[in-house]
Amino acid sequence: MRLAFLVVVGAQVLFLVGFIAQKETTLRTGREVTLQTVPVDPRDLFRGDYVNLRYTVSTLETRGMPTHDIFAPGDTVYVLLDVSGEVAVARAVAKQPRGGWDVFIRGTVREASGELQMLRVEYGLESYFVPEGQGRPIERAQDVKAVAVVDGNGRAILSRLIVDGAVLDTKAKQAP
Amino acid sequence: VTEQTRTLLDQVEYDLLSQETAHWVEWGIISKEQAQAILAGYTTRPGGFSQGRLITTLAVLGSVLVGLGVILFIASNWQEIGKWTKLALLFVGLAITYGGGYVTRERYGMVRVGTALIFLGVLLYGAAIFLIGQLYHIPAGRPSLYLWWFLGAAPMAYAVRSRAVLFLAAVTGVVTLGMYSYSWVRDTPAGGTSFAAMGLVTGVAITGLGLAHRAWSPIKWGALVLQWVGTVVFFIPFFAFTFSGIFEDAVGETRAHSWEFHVAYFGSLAVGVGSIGYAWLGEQVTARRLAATFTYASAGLLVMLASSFLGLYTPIWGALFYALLFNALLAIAILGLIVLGYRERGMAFVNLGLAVFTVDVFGRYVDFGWGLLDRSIFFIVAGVLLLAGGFVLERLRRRMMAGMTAEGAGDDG
Repeated sequence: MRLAFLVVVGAQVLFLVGFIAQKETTLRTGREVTLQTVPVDPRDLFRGDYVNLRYTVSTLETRGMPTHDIFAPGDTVYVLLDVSGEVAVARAVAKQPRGGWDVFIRGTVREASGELQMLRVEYGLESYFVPEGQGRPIERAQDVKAVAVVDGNGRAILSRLIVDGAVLDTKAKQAP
Repeated sequence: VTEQTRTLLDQVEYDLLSQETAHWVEWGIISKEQAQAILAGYTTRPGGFSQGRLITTLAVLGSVLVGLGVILFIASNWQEIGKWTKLALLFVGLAITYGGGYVTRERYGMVRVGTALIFLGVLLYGAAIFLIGQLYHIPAGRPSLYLWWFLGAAPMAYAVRSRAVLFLAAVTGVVTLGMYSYSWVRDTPAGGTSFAAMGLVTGVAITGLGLAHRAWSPIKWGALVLQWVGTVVFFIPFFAFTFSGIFEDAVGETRAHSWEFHVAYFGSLAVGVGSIGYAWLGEQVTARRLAATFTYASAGLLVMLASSFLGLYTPIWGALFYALLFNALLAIAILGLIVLGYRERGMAFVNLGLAVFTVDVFGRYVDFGWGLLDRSIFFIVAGVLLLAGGFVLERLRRRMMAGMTAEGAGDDG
């Protein structure tokens, strides 16, 4: 029993440490992009309240963009972002990042419709977890932007929210 | 032979083995000493609520409460403690529970409490995954988080031979497969029937794995847990198929599922059929009687479902036809369970059959009565139905138990 037990515990700890390390590497070495959002406020059984985020780049019309790829639900998509303005804007989409792309983000196609190739894309940035009861004010806000950190492979992690022009402070007084 | 390596038998099975060995001695096939040696390899399941079971129940309940508390604490997302402190606390918690569990089990020989601590460790491992998911805002509803929990829990169950950890692994496994299945079928036509069909084959696969466990002595301890989880997982979608609504968007639809769905569906089906076959070939009496029930009851509906959702055969009859078909199949399954329980003197089967029957009767009443009756009358009649049903079932159950006891006494005499 001893060896099997130690191997399983070791594997669990290795997995947890690796999981954290991967996320931290992205946060520390990636580049920040600001995305425009449209939030709502549900609750997760194990992780509590979160803000469900949709972005302007969540829905893409590929016609008019420099790409020849045809997408189907489940496909991985890379989206070239123009980060020169206040919020990032999609400039091109492809199944693989192209040479010369500076800042790009990786997502999964959830819906692909018609010859226009309207794509609904998820980037893994769709939930922002907040302390209990703090989701409603975000839902009522006029303008919510999300700051994400993107690494060189297009993997992104949410860093913070900017609600009506101010960075969201989740350390307001609250009890567990 | 030690107490731990003895094979656990029901009292009925042990009595049968005793009678048989006595006959073999009588016929000169084996000596009296050999008969005793054979019987020494088996022990009976304790009939009452033993002290050991009480310790296990209390310790596991304690672990569940602590684990739930930790998960609720994480869900509250308290910001007064920083990210690294939260993570450090969980790692320390893991070290204490796993280390404490190991030492309690191995050094002090307190297997039940030690195993309960390890069970708590597996709960904390899941909590750690969800904490990381929360800290790094991994989107809600991601099946991969449950998959990682399952992948940590399942090998631990076998490493420490714990039924509680195996139950947790089975539940996380079912949730993982359910969430993946939902993500594969949610945007497809007739997704409801495909999702429920996946539930059916998952139930068959887990039940089959339980039967296979029963047939292979090193992992026999886990058989009952998997059989019960598999049976529940099997009957929930089975029951869902008795409502015509689930078929309404499916009739005449062409299915186009992803390859992942097909792999998971046929993989589960293969595991179910393979493990039931293994248990059958293992010539275990208990495995055979269970395998027979599930094979015959499932085969017809599985073939129909497999062919219909794949588009190999497009259902052309109306939704009501399928609902009636599944009602008939469920009635056969209920009858099968009760008859099987009565024949094999296994009250568990009778209880399961009666429980499914009760749910089915109430389901039919809701199905037909909701739209027809005034709401107040609906609730009054439903209440009376449940009370009357309880009375009838209790009488029936008592009569069957009395019958079994009388028959058992007659056999023994």
